[in-house]
Amino acid sequence: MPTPTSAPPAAPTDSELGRHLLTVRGFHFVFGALGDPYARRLRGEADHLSLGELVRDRGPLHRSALGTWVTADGGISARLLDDPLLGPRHPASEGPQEHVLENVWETWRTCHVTPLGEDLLTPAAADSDRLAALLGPVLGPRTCTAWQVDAERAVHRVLDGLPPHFDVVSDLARPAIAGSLAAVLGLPDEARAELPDLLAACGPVLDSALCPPRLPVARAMTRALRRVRELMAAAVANHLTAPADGAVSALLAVDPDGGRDPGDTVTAAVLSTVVGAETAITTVANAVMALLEHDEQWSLLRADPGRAADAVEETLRWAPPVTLRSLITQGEVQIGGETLEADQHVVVLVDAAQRDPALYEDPDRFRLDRPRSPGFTHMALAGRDPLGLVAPLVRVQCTAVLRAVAERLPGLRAEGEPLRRGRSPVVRAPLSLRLAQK
Amino acid sequence: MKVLVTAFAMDAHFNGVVPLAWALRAAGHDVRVASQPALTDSITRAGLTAVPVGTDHQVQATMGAMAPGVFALHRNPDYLENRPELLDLEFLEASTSMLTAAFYAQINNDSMIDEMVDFAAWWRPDLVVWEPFTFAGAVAAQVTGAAQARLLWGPDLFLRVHDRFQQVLHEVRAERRDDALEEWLTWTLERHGAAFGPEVISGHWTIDQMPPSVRFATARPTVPMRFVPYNGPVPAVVPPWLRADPGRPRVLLTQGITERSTGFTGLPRAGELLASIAELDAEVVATVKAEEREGLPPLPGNVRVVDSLSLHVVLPSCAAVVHHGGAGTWATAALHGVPQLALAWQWDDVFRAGQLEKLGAGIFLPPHGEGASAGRVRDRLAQVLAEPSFRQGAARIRAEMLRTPAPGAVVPTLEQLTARHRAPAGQGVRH
Repeated sequence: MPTPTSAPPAAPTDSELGRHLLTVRGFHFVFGALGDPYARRLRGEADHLSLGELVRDRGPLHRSALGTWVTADGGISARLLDDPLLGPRHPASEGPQEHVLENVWETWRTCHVTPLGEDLLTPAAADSDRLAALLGPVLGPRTCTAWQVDAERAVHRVLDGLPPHFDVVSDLARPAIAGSLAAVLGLPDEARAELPDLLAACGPVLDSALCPPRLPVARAMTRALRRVRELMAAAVANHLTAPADGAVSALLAVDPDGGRDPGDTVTAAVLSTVVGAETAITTVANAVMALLEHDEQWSLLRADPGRAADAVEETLRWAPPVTLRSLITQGEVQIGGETLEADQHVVVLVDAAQRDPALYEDPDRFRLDRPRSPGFTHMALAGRDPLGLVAPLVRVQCTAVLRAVAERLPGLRAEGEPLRRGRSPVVRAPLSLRLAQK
Repeated sequence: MKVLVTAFAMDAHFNGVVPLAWALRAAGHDVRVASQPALTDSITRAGLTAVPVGTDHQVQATMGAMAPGVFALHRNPDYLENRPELLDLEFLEASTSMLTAAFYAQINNDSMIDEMVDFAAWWRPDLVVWEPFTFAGAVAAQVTGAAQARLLWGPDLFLRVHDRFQQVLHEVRAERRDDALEEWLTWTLERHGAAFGPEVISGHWTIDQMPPSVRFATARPTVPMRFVPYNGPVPAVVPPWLRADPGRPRVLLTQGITERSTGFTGLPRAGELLASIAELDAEVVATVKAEEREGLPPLPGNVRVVDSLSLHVVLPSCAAVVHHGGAGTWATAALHGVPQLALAWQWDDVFRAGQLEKLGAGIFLPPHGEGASAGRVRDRLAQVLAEPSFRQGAARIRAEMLRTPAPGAVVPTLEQLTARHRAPAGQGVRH
């Protein structure tokens, strides 16, 4: 009798996926109405920092009504993100992390909410390590600044075409990040042209892990994700036959005799495009908003655009591009006076943890000269998961944009109130803010 | 014509569609009543023809888990107070999201919708009449091109709030619009090759059984219909004691069938309540479920406890009724001109109870918190019995109801509307 091979999970129908997303969203509203601060955070209440305070008031680590362990404690958050006993996947599980066909009314599982059809956000530890080793010599923490000049050149091209009145996301952050990404990776023209729309459609990827998007948004997101992978696979194929400028060729050249799979380079490019760009676009927009709200800091940067990297770091702390980090315990974990069994869902409230007074002096102040010890990285982009992998490139891209903005748009001012995307409790993604050059 | 009537499987919601189904049948039309299998017995015991569709819904389980949150949201920004300005985007989005997830999409489970569509595609109804939360009927009508009418059992709070939500959403940037109900109906209709249209929420028209003074003004097409009581599959039997003159006012104390089966209730415990009410100079008739009867203390001679009773049988002999505010109990008492003390806890119950008080036909005693102690119930009841104005107020509502055409008299209107709204033969998505 032939052994049945395990087929990949069938793609859910619209009704199956829609019902799942609807149910999880219903949970957020139901437990939000009962006052659970984590559920209120997920439903997307505007005052996220007060909710972080409420979480901190409940103790270093507590179990939300949704069953998720939640912390806003700076020390515990940093340890959780650094602990190999926590990871993006359920222990001993295989394949994409999806719960669509499970009955949420029975399982109460509110992690891995939206299936991506692939393991992009939830790689196994070995895959993460392999990607980190690949990225290290090219787009790693110590090597990535080599691409700063390429990034800046692309950003300046976007600023050249900026109208007197413009939107911080659609006219500045997204085109600048798309342009610098294409320049750094060395993408062909076809991919460059499609990138801004694809980035917008892929935007909810990070949010969708904890907060269900609307069904059409989820479908558009997975379609865009597939298209990004096609484009990156085509770019890698081009670089394989004809090595050229750009990080893709450089990645392909890493240890060429070590039998590396070019698929890893494709994945690295997809991650930079999907996870990296959303993070970078948000950081740029958050930084511009923060600077415009803090005139003395904006003056400091205008006087010395070389401090753009400081502005990026402080934005990553004060208005992080990822405000909730979702983890699963891989074994029993003892922390914060609690014993967590294996396979428990843990969420770190990064925005609150990065304003923990126990960790930061005067945490609510936005200041470019905040002291940092060497090697320190903010929790928003810490860890071995995809966010940690793309962090160096995100920093380079954001620094390039802020530097160029400080040099070329000294009279920048806001013309209205910022609007954030709906169903975006993780990223709190900026949707729009009208700005004027003078 | 062929009329498909549907209500999700919950007796209180089904009872409200029965008299019109009878009227259509008596007028010579073909009537089928579709619902989950759990309702089949209730349908056939009402003398109607059942079409069991899909598997049973699990709303008791889901609402069991979700009810505290649902009630926590809805108690405070109280749209029942006729102040739509309290209904902001945040509240409406939350309300629609949780109710669609925990209620609408649960009572209209996928298999029930799919089999109802299959049945309609085969039977070809001219008209689908649906209970206002049974969107499966709307989907079946939309897919097959039948005309569709909502049949209300209470004031149309749902559509009022929905309209307000649409108005608020209209002012929001397209990317921020978040309407869980429309989204769910959209993918549900697409599963059957049909597109969403506003009529799957509002019907082509609405049949409203509330008296005019308890109805919301609306520009939408509405067919007023007199409420005719149908109490569900309890034997409607006139007990001999009913004819004996009690020599003092008779008072009925009752919980609704939904409250009795779900445990969501605002009423104090039966024993305490009965002992307190029995202090009044009245004959107290109380419906108490069997398991609660065992725990009752010895009761005074002026209390008569029965397991169940048809309301339309006993209410005409009553001087007052104490109840939880449910649609069927409220309307049956109103039709018989009986003053009411309504301990209404939630939703439309609260609105109807408030209107009752405004119209001078009874008292609304909110049971939340300490509001409805046994002593307060007794004191309010004494007031209702003592002041003749309550009976006069109740008589005015009764007169309004009697002036409204009975189900049999609205059938010709439904025939005309059906002819106007039914898609020409062969133009439904499935034919």
